[in-house]
Amino acid sequence: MSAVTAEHEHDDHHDHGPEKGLLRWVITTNHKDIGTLYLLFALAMFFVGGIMALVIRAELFEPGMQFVSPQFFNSMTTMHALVMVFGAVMPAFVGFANWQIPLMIGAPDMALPRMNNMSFWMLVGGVLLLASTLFMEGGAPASGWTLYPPLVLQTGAALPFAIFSVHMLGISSIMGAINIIATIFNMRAPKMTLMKMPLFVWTWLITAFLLIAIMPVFAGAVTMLLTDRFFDTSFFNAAGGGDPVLYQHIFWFFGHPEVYVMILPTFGVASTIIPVFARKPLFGYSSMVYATAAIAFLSFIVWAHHMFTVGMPMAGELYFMYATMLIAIPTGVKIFNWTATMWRGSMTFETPMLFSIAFVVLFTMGGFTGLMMSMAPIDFQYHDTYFIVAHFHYTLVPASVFILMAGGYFWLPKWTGNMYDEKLGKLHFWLSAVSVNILFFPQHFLGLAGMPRRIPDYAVQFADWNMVSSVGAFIFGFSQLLFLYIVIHTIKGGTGEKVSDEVWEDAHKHGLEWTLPSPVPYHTFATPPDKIPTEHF
Amino acid sequence: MNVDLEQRNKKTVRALVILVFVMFLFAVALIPLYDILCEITGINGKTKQESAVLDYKIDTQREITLEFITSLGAGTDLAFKADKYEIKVHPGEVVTMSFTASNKTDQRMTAKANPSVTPGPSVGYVKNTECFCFDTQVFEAGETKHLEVQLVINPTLPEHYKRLTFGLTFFDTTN
Ligand code: HEM
Ligand SMILES: [Cu+2]
Repeated sequence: MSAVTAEHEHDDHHDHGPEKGLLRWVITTNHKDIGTLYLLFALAMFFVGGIMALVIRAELFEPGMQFVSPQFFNSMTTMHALVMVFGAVMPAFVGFANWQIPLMIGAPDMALPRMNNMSFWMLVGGVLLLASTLFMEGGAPASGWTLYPPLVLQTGAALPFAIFSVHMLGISSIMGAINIIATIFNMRAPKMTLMKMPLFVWTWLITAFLLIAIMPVFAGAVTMLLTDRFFDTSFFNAAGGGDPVLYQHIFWFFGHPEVYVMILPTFGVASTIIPVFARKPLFGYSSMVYATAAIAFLSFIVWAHHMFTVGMPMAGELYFMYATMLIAIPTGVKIFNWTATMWRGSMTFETPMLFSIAFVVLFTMGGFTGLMMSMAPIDFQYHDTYFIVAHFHYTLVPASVFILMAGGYFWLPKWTGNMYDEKLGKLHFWLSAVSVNILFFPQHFLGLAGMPRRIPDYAVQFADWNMVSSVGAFIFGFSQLLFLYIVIHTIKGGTGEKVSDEVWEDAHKHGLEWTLPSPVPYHTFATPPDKIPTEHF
Repeated sequence: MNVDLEQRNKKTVRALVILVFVMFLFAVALIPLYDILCEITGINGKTKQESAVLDYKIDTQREITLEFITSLGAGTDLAFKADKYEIKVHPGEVVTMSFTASNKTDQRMTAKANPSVTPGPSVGYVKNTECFCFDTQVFEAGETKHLEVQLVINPTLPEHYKRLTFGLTFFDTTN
């Protein structure tokens, strides 16, 4: 930021609107514009990743090979995961962060607006590069999203491009994280002390530190894959004295915290929405903050629970087993607190609340299967079966994705000034909540019965539940078109009902953003607010 | 944006960028750390790559079944077999095992074998006193070689080990 912009701020900042035309979206440094870009991009990628998932479920609808080759099937499982993780869920939460963090802490914008623009376009570049590998000789990577050597080294022409795209996504995430930390540390309204920050801000602060700690590690690991393939190093090559298991250690040192990168902001949004519709302050605010920090800390010391079957010594198995079980404690604190927030509240069940309640229930189920797998001797049965597929989809789809939907319904009226269609929203909720269980619940049975993950064909005894799961997948997938329609409809004017500044009854007690006019003006909090809501704390 | 804020942002960014580099170095440092850890604890089934002269008392009360398995790295065009798949040994007794490997190609090949012992935690008790795997082997086109391994099991091997597997994997290292 140069002195020139600093001068500008005083005279014409307030009436200075957005640029006209499409160029606005390319060069914008406004946190709201960039938030919108992130969210729309994430929504688009949600559908791209979703189509890949439907290719997988179509192939698995019946035993035998129906539509695609095994190689392409494996590319689909790999690309589905990478697109959903790096293209949909993470960017969507960054979108929320961009929109909401400045509004929630009373800041005029993000701390580093130009870097903000850069990290968005870097993300787009990274995802497009990743998608382009689908059209390369030898196909897209088909090794699973974990990119384990030696298998991943057999990828065709796509390997260096996939790795380079991982680098770009990593740089984008790191820039985003630095920006978020700088904003939270340096731009809070004077009265917004750390322990008064809304939980969404807290969870993102901690997530940003996780990102900064793990993305360089992942970048290091994939760079070593690159040199193993092209420069004759042997980091992971047993022939040259290396060890492929070492890759797994490095990957999961990144990979386990990475799953918390997706769930911690989820916790933050849920902790924002539930109190509003329970009409109560959040139960146990400070325990929520400490639990989040505890989960983040623990996430660094449990990675080898993904590797119970590689032949670790007994001491290692025991250590990683007990450490993993510990995570259930702070996670349990959170679930207790959300439940206690709802306890005897005067609850209403608008769409965002429905999604949030479903999140509390269904996420808990995912947590329980996690706890089952944390037991090393039992995990030998579950490892690399559909049971684990069920586990992480319960923690990601009806948790992270549901909360993203909830956040969308919750904040869209504030951002656009238009109300979404509540009837359609509820329909979308019920279709999603029922079909997501038809989709993923049977996968528990398949896994327990021994069906391995990442295979295009299976023995006939698995046929029935696979068929049920595929039917659920298609209902779930097509229900999301309804969400797309609702979002577009709301942006274009919605029900026409005039939304108030606080949108939801008494929401102004729960956060600064609800004290602003609806729709939120292009520039907000040019001077920091002198009062902050205290209902929460 | 005022000057003070700009200063603070710069400071925050600098600290965080340093953290990014530290974490990257950490990832690179994991490679030697991992090998050191495996060597100290012997937890990775990698046997020590050195010959040793050991003087154990032979424990004739115990008998351990020693299995030999052979495998080949990707693209290694050798035929490689243990001459016996299983023998019974007393702890402390020095045994010699022979293997046969032949080059199936019509080109000269250099290859190196990597030894391993399972279950992993038993690795510290199995000493290779001599092994063809200590050196790179050169095979002429079509050549067949008889190769030898000498090993001895430390008599302090915990009671519950009754069966150990000694594996060798040959890798073509011509290039
Ligand atoms: C109580 C909390 C949790 C526990 C104890 C737990 C435990 C585990 C364990 C032991 C595994 C490895 C299973 C195996 O490979 O055999 C696993 C896999 C996984 N978990 Fe969790 N988990 C928990 C929460 C979560 C959350 C919140 C997420 C994501 C938001 C998550 C995402 C995943 C993913 C993606 C995998 C599979 C990775 C892969 O192999 O591709 N888990 N979990
Ligand atoms: Cu994990």
